[in-house]
Amino acid sequence: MEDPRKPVVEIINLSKSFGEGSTQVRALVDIDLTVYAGEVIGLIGPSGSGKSTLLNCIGCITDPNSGSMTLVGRKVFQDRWLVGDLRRMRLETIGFIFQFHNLLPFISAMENVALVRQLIGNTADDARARAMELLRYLQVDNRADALPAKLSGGEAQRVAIARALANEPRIILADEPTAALDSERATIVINLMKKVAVERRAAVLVVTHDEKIFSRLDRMVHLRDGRIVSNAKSALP
Amino acid sequence: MNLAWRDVQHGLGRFVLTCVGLSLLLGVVMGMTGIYRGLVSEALGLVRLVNADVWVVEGGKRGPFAESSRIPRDTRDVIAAQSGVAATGAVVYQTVEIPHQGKNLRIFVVGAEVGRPGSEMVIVDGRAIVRSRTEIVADQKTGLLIGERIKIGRDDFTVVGLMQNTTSSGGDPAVMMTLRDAQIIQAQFEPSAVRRETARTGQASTRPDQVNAIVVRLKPLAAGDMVTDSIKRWKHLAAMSGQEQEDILTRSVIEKARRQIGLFTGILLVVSTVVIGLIVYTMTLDKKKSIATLKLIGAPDRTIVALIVQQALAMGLTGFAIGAILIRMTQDFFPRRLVLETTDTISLLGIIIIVCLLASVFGVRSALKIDPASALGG
Repeated sequence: MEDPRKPVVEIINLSKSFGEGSTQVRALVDIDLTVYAGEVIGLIGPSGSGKSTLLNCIGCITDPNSGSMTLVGRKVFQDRWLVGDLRRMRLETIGFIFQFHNLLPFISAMENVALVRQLIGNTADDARARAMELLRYLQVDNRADALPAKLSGGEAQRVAIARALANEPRIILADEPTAALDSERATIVINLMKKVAVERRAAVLVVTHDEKIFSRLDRMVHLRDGRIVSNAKSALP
Repeated sequence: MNLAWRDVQHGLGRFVLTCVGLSLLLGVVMGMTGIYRGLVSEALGLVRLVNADVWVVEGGKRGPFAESSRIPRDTRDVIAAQSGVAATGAVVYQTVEIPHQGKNLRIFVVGAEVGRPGSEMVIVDGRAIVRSRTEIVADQKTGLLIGERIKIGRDDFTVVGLMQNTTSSGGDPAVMMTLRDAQIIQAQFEPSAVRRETARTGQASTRPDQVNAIVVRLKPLAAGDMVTDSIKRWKHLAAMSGQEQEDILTRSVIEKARRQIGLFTGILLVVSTVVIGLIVYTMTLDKKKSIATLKLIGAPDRTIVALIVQQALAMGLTGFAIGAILIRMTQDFFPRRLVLETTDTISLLGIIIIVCLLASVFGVRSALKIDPASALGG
């Protein structure tokens, strides 16, 4: 049985700066962060604090300058990328949820989810069956054939979550997932993420300014000027 | 699922409109090629129809089509007596304008001896000429009808048959008649200075019973070179093979047009490439967020490249198909004959595929540069 305290994301001394010389901006400075399976972590802080950069580094989108990063037990960065195909790494390990769902507008809700399964290598039929399963799990299967433009904000975000889960990721990265939702729908979405984290043994990292969901987070990592200034269990009720 | 096809379905109206616009451009490219083929067909049509083994014309001249030529009609009998010659026929060619239904009708008069080389025609309606005078067989493009009577020169002629695709090298529709009729018309249409001189001297003509060329048909296995060399030895005559006559026409009539049309076709293809390139580039920019999302969720480059290239090909091929249909539907309404050959269509299809691939390079390059991080908000 898997050790419940086994880290899914382990970051040590991770630094990232943009520009050079007098124009250099240190976006991340010696970040240490460990996230365990089943946890929902909030990355909070003012604009420019480095939370999006940290999310991008964990998502293998932005190259850190130094430090090390281990994802799902595999060291992927040690002062340089140790993985050749980062896109494949993302496809197999990470799920992304965006502020504005970012569903492909020209394919249906179900096809948006099935696409990820097909990219992994599933046949079209298997991908569709799995996509329907996920949509049912997120209670949006009745909108499977609708194009994203025909979905409500809450429905679209649930489809986006289904897509993020389609590759059975151990890490889910969410960038302001509730910012475009009202408080009722925001609560539904964050509860879903929590459910996913627990049931699928995934680590969920959420960049958010949304105070409504702070109480639903397991931990809040507060960043300022590229440094972690606090990393504690949610203090809010 | 095919993302390119699904994106096309999603914006079907815009895609169809783009394809229709492109089809007009590609239709013009096909039209230009068709016009060129039509020019060749018209220029060489009569020469190929006559299918002479040897053309005999006035010495120092290049034939009855490229230059004017006049020789005595009895030259035909002298040449017929040559070794290797199976048959000969005298021909007269003359372009004239006649009044018809309130307008000027420009026709190419072909006078030939019925039953002899030079009198070949493909009759599609009516009958051939059987009387020695005042009967004509007209090309359909003249607009003349069977039974219609028309004045050419001072005589009235009756249309007894219609033929197809028989024109001068300049595209004027042909009217076939007996050699005698054509000679009379040629005399009537002579320059006024010549006619004044004829009246002044009281002689009927300074050059009686003249024709423009003699068409020679050789016996099987006869050496054409020997016959032409033999005729060329007579200083007042020139002789050339059927192929040489075609080459002269190609050089003098078609070559400039070929270069001109080739230049326009090339420019249009470059314009098509730029247009398709711009459309593909714009379509790629429209999908920037989707492409960033695809990259972020782990779609490989080949998925993104396929999305763009397949759309460019779909657009080019659909535009090509619509263009081909349009040009075929309208080809009969063009003032000059359009000849649309299957080989040209297939070649153009190949060029369009290459054009689409080239045009999608800009879109692909821009797509591959899109940062997956741009899919994330903020």
